[in-house]
Amino acid sequence: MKRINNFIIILIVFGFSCSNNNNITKLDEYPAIYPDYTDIHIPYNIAPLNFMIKENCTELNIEVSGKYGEIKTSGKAKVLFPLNKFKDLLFKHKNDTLSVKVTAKINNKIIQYKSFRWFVHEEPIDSYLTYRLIEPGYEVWNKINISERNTTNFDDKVLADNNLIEGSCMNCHIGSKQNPSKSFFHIRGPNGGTIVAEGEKLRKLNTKPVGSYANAIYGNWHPSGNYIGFSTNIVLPATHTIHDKRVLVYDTKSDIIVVDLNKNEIISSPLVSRNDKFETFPEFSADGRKLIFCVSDSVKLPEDYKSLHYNLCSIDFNEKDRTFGKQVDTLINARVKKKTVSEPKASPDGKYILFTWFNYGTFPIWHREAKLCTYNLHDGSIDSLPEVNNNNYSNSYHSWSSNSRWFVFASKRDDGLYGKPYFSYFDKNGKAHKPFLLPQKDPEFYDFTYKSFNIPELFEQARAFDAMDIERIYNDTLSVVKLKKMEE
Amino acid sequence: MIKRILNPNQILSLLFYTTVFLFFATIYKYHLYFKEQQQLFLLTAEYFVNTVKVPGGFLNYIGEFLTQFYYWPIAGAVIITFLIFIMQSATTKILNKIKKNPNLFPLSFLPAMFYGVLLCNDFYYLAGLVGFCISLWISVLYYNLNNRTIRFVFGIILIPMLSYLIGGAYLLFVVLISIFETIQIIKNGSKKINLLIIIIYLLIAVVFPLLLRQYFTITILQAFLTGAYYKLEVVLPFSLVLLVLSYPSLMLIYRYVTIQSTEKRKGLLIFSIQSVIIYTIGGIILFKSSFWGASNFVAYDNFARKGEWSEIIEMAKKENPQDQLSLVYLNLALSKTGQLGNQLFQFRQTGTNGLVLNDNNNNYEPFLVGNELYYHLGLVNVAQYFAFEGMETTPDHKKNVRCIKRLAETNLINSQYNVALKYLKLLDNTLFYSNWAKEKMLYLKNENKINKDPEYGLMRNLKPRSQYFFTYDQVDVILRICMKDNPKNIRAFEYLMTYYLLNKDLKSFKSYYSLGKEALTSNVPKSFQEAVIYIISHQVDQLNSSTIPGFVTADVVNRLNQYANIFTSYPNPKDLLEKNFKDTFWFYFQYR
Repeated sequence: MKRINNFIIILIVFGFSCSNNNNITKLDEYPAIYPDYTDIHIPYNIAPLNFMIKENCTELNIEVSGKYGEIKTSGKAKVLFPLNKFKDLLFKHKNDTLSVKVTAKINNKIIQYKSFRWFVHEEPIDSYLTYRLIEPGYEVWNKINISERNTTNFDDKVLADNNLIEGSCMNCHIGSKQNPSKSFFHIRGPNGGTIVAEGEKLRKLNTKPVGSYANAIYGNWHPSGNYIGFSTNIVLPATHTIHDKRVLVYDTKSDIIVVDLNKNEIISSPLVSRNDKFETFPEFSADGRKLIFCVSDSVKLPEDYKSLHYNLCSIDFNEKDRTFGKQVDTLINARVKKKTVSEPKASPDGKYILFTWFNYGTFPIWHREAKLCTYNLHDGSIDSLPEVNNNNYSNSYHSWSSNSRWFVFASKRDDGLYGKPYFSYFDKNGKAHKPFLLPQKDPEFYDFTYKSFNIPELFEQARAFDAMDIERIYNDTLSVVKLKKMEE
Repeated sequence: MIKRILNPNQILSLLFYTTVFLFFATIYKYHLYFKEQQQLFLLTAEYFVNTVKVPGGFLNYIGEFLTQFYYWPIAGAVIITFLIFIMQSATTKILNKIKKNPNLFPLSFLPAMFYGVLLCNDFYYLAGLVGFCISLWISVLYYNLNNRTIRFVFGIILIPMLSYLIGGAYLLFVVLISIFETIQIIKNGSKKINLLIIIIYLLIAVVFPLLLRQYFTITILQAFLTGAYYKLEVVLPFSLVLLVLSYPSLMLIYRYVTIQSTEKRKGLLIFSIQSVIIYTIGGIILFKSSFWGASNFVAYDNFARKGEWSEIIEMAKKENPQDQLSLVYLNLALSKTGQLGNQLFQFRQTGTNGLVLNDNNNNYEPFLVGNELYYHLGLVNVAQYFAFEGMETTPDHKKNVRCIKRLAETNLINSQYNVALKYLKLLDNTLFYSNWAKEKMLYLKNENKINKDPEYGLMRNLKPRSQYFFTYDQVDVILRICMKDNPKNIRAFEYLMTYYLLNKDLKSFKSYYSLGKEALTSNVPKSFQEAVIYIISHQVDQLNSSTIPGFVTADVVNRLNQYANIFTSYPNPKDLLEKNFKDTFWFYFQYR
């Protein structure tokens, strides 16, 4: 059967090629393919990069070739590569280049485009990507789920679905790069809490002890896996009335806490929970000795929202005796540049911090000008990553691959509204390369998807829990662990 | 003549189905429009696969397919009437299998009539009715199988199949076939095997939906009922339980109640009494139901959606709007027809909540109203907010034509063409909105066409230029900014002044009245004149030509004098004033 199929494909390709050879128009430009996979850097283990030509294409013929083999395939307007052949070809071309030749019949004209390249890297991307699927709305939500997608093929599974937990909101599924079985996320609602997963073991934490003004919101793991740094925020949205601006999301109060997962205690420092400052987005350095965070002067909101400028700061953190340093260091003074920093993420190799840089405020996804930048922890230089930010829409919600060679981020570059996961190769010299969109089995998938891929997060391992486990722990009202807040 | 052609059963059927059809085609037609707007049925293979692959999805697909024809209420009424007929005829067949009891024929209408009433509740899907029809007719098939083994095989295949394809109504099938097997035990005495069959049926009926939970992220309730029956998937609608239970009850009545009458007239009398009782019960349930109260709102909403503003005003003239959302539509209609300032108090006003929305809006309907209101006020981003949140607050969490259309429009106006295209692509795959979508696609990246469009061009002109945020409690501030950005925005000015009048805030009315000097190109609206003269009357000792502004007409001045005379001459003048002056700002200010 397989032979017959191959024979038919050969016949089609051969027939197509032969019958039109004399009428082929050669263009010295790249085809307008979607997703844009022209001249990109890819890991050898990525799922097939299926793509399509949207405009009036009736026949498509593709040749992917390299030193050690090739794939020829065809379609009407879409290219769907055979999984195994694709993976085999990429595997053979680690640290090498593949050339992709596209010939298309568009408006009854056969056009052969300039070939583009795929630079295949031997450093793999983490095999699992989790994200929250949510409509990019204002304040209300309906269906939300946190899903896990295998980046090396097209398998996916639902990790948590709010359909099973009384429609409650869920957010911020964050993993520990150094402890790949660990992750956490929040479930709001009457039976909610912060779900901490350590392998198959799930715990539900109440992060709002008596006297606290808010639950834990944004957080990141300490590399030891024993602590999670959180910010507690009172978050408010406001609807813009002009132009293409939609929502301003701002905090009217925020501080930083650290949760000790072994002792179920909350610790903090007056230096990261000042009344005259908004402290948010905590992150630990790769060695765990610094707590990195964003901080702004508190201003009157929403009136003075344009004065909200968050600097990138750090403070020492001693894991053994659970103490904070005596002073806060400013890594990036964004306020003097009338800019703001958010979502710092330390690369697992300890060399860089990837962060979002935009005009004002704390929540970048509705800021068209939000760009990703890196801060070099060795020399303090900032790179504006031009290859990554070459568009006029928000790029944010980034996460490193465990080998620090790739990062994923949510970008609204396609239409300005729906965030999609893009991957970028980050080479040893600290240069980020042209990003590419998470491939799908059907390249038209994104056209008919009305959800944003929120907070994409890379994982080396698959999560050991699923939506039913989350349903169980949500409904188990007795299982919640109340954290004790320690004196500062 | 009729007597010779039709027997009493046929007469009853004819009457019943004619009533059902007329009800849905006329009295209830606005609800049909409303329901049609609450879904988005796509004619694509992907939509079919994605809908059908989940439990109950097959039934949902059929239901949505049929519901799209509510676009024409006559077609909707035909579909509903036909399905009710299918349900009733299957019910008759099943009951006749228990015992032929012709004098109880009117009872066979009860379940179908009950479902007809349920369909008047926006939370019940048409799909549910289809599900019950399928379940009943498959039960009829089962009842006609004489061979026990074939019946058993049929049963064990059909229970899971129906559970997956049509959801909740499969339970009716299980109930009916279990009753049938019980009757076989009574009739034939073969207890053990039939009892075993029943137990197996019940086991499959319970276990299969639970197994589905391994493959789909659905709750236990959803596994049994599925989302094809009731929009709120977290609630077990008691009415459906009642409907299932009505069958064993009717079977018992058919089996054990015998109305025999040798006299033809007496038989006809009993038949007629039953029919009248059933009609009456149906009527009472229908008109006493809470959802009946929404009738006027859906009519207002339908007219607002289509821009039929005069229809709204005519409707309000017959009966004042009973709820604040309808009143918002009425005031918008008055504004759209240039009558807000003149006709405002012709209708009973209840405060600013009848003009703009308050922030107590957790349901779907206020978002629809906000979407229309702010769109026509030129606050495109606010309309977009309401349209988007409206889509998120639908009880069944599904996309709907109404909001998607508006989102396509707001994104076109805002030059967000890629997002607009995303929505237009959806509509392009529908039966009734494809042409609309294709026409709107011509606007994509065509700034000139949008600017020249009478509606979109106007919206672009009315859009505020200043940066600020929308909040429910500061609508007047937003309207003032609109006026500042566009001093000729007469609608914003009328709304601003009306807001202050309805809020009885004469200080602000006075302070900001001058904002309208460029917008007010014709006569000053009557209500505004009444407010101005009222303010002046409290500032000066006497109203005369030097104290009365030129734009206040003599008629308004005379009426104020008459009003003041009555007010000062009677100890309790409210009734008299209401009789003659309830259409004035003065009466509203003092007594509402």
